[in-house]
Amino acid sequence: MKDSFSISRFWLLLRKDFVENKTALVIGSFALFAAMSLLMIILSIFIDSPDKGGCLIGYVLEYLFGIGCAISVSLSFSPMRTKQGRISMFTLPATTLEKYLEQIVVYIFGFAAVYAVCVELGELVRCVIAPLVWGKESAGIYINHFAVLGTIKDAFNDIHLVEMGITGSKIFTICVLGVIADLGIFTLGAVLWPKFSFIKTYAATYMIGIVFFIAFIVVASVVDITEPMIETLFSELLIVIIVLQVLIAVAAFVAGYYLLKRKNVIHPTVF
Amino acid sequence: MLKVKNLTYGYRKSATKIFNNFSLELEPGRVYGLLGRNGAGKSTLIYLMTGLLTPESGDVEYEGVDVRERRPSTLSNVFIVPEEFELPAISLKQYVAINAPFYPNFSYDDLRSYLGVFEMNDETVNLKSLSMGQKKKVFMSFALATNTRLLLMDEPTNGLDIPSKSQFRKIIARCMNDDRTIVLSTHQVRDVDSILDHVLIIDNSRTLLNASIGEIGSRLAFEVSSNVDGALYWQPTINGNMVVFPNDGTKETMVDIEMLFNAVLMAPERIAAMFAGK
Repeated sequence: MKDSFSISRFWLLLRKDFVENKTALVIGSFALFAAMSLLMIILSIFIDSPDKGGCLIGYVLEYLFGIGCAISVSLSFSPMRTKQGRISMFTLPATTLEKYLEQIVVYIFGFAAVYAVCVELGELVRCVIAPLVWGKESAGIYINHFAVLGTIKDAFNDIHLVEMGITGSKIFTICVLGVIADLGIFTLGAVLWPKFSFIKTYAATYMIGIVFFIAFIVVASVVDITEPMIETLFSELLIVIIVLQVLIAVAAFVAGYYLLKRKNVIHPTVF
Repeated sequence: MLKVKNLTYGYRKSATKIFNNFSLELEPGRVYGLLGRNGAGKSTLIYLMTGLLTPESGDVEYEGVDVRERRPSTLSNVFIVPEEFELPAISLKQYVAINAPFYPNFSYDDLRSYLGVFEMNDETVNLKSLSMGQKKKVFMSFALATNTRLLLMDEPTNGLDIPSKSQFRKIIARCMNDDRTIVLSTHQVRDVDSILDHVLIIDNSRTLLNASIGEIGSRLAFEVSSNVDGALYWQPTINGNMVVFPNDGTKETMVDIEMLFNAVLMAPERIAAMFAGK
């Protein structure tokens, strides 16, 4: 049996996960579809055309996608919540990398696929139900929410910001990398704290954020950072932020893998 | 086959080490009984032997490979049946279909044979609907059918009724071969004494006894006697005193594992001296 990464073994892990959890996956997908349909029907009150109000639903859905991904990835590595589950997971004849990537594929990419399907099905339901609820035909106009993705970059473009070197593309890149960095952090959190992972990871990153904010305030007061100074350096600052996000994402995903490799079946509870 | 070398391990909050410079070697073709008091570290040793815990120092190697690396080639040759385990809410057929491919030596014929002995032939049954004893029978059948070279079972007869314990002994005897090693960690020695051929007794992070049944029988005698002079251990029974004596080599008695365990705990130095240089 080979000890390096095996696609066939990875596929067996995916199949095993799906068969063991298919009931939970079906119920979760249906709940997501129902919640999104309801939300889209409610937001249809703002729709007068695909451009007016239609974009609002798209932006809300994209915002919720980021949160949903974080919650989804926090549910990964659920076998590690119990000792018996950890024994099963660690003794299964597969590499740690295969087990790690399998969870990422299911809880990030799998969630993204289910989310996309729910968006489309929810849109179809909205087109039928919304006009009846709000009494206006415009509420039932079909909107291609995936096309809205392409308009986000343009929405961020502002003449004053562009003059400062801050293009819509840069802001869009920061948003996307921010989501990826978040997913890395929540994946690390899922390995570190299998129980109540989302709450613990959110609390930890919130506390770290406060520390950095306080540090920034202190530095700003010492260095006497002024608004004109910030405007001048903003473009360079965005590049720094993009680089930091890439580093955080890579570091978090890699740390999650090495932490999983070293996990014991019995471990003290930290936080 | 499996070598435990100079192992030191303790749970983080505890200053007392469960194992301190502990060494052990398991040979193929044997059924080991791993015995010890509550808290002696039997389950911990099993976890260490399967790479589920990281020792503070020392190594555990299976066929020369550190078990902590958790390589698929090692894990496909080592199977653990823990005292408590979870089974998913799927049918037995589905469970086998999704787990068997991970074990290259898995035998569906062996599985059906063991399930037949345990009278658990319905492959469509949902595993969640089974009682604890039934789950144990199913899981043990699967474990045995993987044909891993090293099989570790923690309290295997817990939850089994009397007929099932007899079935278990039958299956263990049937599945043993020269290539396989089975370790049974248990307090219920009477459930497994007829199938053991090697006894390991651990206590206070050391091995008090590591000997085959043959060696034990040649050095110790287990008999009913009114005379307890020179006994290593004795206890009163309805039929008289059950006594463990040193054997001068002239007696052939059945090894009573429970009496042996008590004798070893009562007189560890004397027992160690008798088995030193064996």
